[in-house]
Amino acid sequence: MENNVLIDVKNVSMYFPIFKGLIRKHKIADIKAVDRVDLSIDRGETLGLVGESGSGKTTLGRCITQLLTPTSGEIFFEGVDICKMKKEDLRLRRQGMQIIFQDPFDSLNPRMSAFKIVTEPLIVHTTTRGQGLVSRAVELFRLVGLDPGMMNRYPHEFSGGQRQRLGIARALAINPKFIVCDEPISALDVSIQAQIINLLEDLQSKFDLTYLFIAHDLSVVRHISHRVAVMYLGRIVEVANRDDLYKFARHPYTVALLSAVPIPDPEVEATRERIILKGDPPSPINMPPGCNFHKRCSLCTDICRKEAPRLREIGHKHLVSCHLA
Amino acid sequence: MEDTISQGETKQWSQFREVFRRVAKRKTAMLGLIIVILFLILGLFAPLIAPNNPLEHSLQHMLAKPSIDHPLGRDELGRCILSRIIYGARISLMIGLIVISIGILIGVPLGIISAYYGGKTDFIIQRFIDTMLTFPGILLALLLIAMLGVGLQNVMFAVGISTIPIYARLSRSSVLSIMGRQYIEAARSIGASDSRIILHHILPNSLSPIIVQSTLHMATAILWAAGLGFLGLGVSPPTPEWGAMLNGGRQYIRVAYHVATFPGMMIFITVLGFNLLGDGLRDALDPRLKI
Amino acid sequence: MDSLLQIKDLRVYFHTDHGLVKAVDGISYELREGEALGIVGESGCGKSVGAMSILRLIPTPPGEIVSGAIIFKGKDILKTTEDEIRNIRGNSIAMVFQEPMTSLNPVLTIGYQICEAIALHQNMTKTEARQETLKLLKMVGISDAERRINDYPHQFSGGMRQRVMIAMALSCNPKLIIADEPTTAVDVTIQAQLLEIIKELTTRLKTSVIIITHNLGVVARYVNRMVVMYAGRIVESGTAHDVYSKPSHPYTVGLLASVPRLDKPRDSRLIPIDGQPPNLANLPPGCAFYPRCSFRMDKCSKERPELRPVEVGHFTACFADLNTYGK
Repeated sequence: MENNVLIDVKNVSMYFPIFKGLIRKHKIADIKAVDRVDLSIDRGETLGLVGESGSGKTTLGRCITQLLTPTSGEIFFEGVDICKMKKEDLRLRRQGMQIIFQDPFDSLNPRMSAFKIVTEPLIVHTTTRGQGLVSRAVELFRLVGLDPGMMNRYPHEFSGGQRQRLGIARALAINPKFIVCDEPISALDVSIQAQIINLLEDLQSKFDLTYLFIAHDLSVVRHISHRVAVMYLGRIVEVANRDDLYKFARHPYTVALLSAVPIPDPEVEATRERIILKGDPPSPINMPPGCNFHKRCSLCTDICRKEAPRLREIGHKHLVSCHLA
Repeated sequence: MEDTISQGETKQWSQFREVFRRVAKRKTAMLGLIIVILFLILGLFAPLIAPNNPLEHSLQHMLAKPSIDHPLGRDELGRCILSRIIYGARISLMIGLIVISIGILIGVPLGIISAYYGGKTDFIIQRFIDTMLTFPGILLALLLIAMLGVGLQNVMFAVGISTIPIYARLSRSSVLSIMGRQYIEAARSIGASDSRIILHHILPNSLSPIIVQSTLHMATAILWAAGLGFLGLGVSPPTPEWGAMLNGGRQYIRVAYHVATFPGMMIFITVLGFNLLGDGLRDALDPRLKI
Repeated sequence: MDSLLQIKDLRVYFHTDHGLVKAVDGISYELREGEALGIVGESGCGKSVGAMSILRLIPTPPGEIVSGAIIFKGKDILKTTEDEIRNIRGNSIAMVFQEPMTSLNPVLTIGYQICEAIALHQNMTKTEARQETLKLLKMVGISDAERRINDYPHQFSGGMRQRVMIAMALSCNPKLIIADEPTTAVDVTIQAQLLEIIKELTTRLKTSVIIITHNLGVVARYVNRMVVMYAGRIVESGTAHDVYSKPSHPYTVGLLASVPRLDKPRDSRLIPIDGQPPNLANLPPGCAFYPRCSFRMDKCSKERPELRPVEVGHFTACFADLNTYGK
């Protein structure tokens, strides 16, 4: 069982300090973007990470890929703690771990041809050159459903969905094991989103890929993930298998989140129960003690105000961070 | 599943052609482009175009009015003004290119390093730039000339040095805005080294403001060289430099205005041309281009 | 219910470097008092341009309202003077924009901006306007309104800014509110709050609403009738109930099939719509959806389909009869 875990996140926190003062800067507080998170991802599975803005899901994604170095904690990739690695070793490790970014316009260098973009990982990590690069590029283009004849075009000549395919091709170039998908479809039109989701699924089964799928759209996450983790203000509040989460959600935030997602069916909508959260999320700077959700929670009790709950298992692979679950 | 592209999107523009198209739309920019091209032709092909030897003097013909042999007349030493103007273009071209090269080759890397590495490096380089900028450009140039002596090389060197801080600032702000883009993060996530990121990702995308600035700077460089030449601090005689020619013809303006007027006009037209082109390029290379 | 707004064959074209873009190419619909209408479509379908035309907010070079009529309370807005339309904006017709960040002036307090809207259109003293503002802020759920009325936009979160926008929109008791993607820039839980506020207030005050969105779920929850747009044209219209249960245009069918749903058991595959979004500067003759349509026939590439009734109050712009294909 241990060997099946590809990514193991242990007690990771990412704090951004806030300084005040002009001459002698002193720290007045921390923004706790990610606060003591534990997470593990098995080989071949898709873990969905949902949360709203400020939940820390994007920051966590960046910590896992080491675009940010966590303030504390350990992240094991194939058994090795990548937070403690030297820069050069880390660069090599990157071969196994790639990212697909959110913005199909901004994540591609506008002055590089599609061919160059897609083959850059090969240039950085392998000795493949010349014809070898071209054949690999053709292969990658075909894999993501793009016409190899467009290789010499520039990003602005592709549509949004096609650019995202380029980003996927780039991520696949050096056969990674693990791909972090950071909101890969939020910037795309609805009719194109489905194309990309299907593509990601196909690639996963073809190459036995492991995905961390970060998104705020619950319907999409439910569709593509095997397990789902819900984040709120830097902490994980619930983790469960996809179907368990949607049928048996236990954390009040998860329940509210699920009820807030509108379903494209007026009949169903008319009969659904709606839980409207009151208030706004507190600022991540001055977080109240206790459970970070208690101010908006309708079930809040005394203990919730004082003590922060820990993630505990309440069912098969179903973890919740709530005193009342 | 193969994606097919709908008809409108298959045009294969190169970015260069798109830029040219945008420039061509503004008549002033086109005028600037034409002037600049003429200037370049004059400068590059001077020996083939000039009708006479620019250095050959003939005192008996001093201040001669325009004639068929000498379409713009002769100057105070009887030399052909047209030929001197054409060779003068060559001098100005050379001055301009060297000045810009110094500015770019030193200023741009400074700006890039400053922006990319940030922190202390940025702080130190920026203070250095600030110091250079406290001197008005021409004062700095004069200062350097005072230290190094007059002469063409020193003029170019001095003016070149004084343009370094401008390019450094420009490239720094350009790089800073690029640093936040996702494709830089993507390059990092692939495992690209710093040098690769700078050369392949940052540099190509930060060139636009530098191109615009260099075009405008050509104009400035030519003007400064002319100004210094006019003050007698630039090239040494008998080199046909427009500013020096202006100086030479100054005292004869009442009797033989052509001696000073034609070089003066050339300075004006050339500087105008580069400015118009630079403005046109600035608009054409606007980020609205979505490239 | 009386008819409040009628759009008749509206055409809005843009003159761009790349040719003539037919952003809105002949749309017609009607809105009654107290009704909530949803305009659904993806980016570039013309839904925002259509809405902005109602208030004549289209920049006139390069845009141009080529033809059509927009009849509001019996008068054709396209033919009124600039003064008259300014009187309508913010007063009888109010708009809530997508980006609360950029639609509020950062250097003025919220209170000032709302009072300004009130003072512009109603005869009130400063004190009265301020009282009215406080009332509005409380109505949209900003609890300590007395303190927050003096805050600046940057001191509010995204969701609260959007609420301020709604308060501003309501300040002059408009007959119609146009909400252009009001929830795209905010989180799902805030989105739920905002839409509930809009719904509750408009039901109580009998205001009509046009909600422009690409989110099929939002439309299902909050509107009575809806209109689906593609490439500047209306392809289907009807009550939300009818359109969702009997989608009669291939595009609507495609959209519904490609969106994952929380309540249905997980199907093995989503069924995406093939192909690419249309190029508005270069539309094919005939039906704009032809290149991507799985029901297409020869006729569709030559003739542009007009809206025809499928059942009472339910129209589609398609030559094929989808209901005979079954679902």
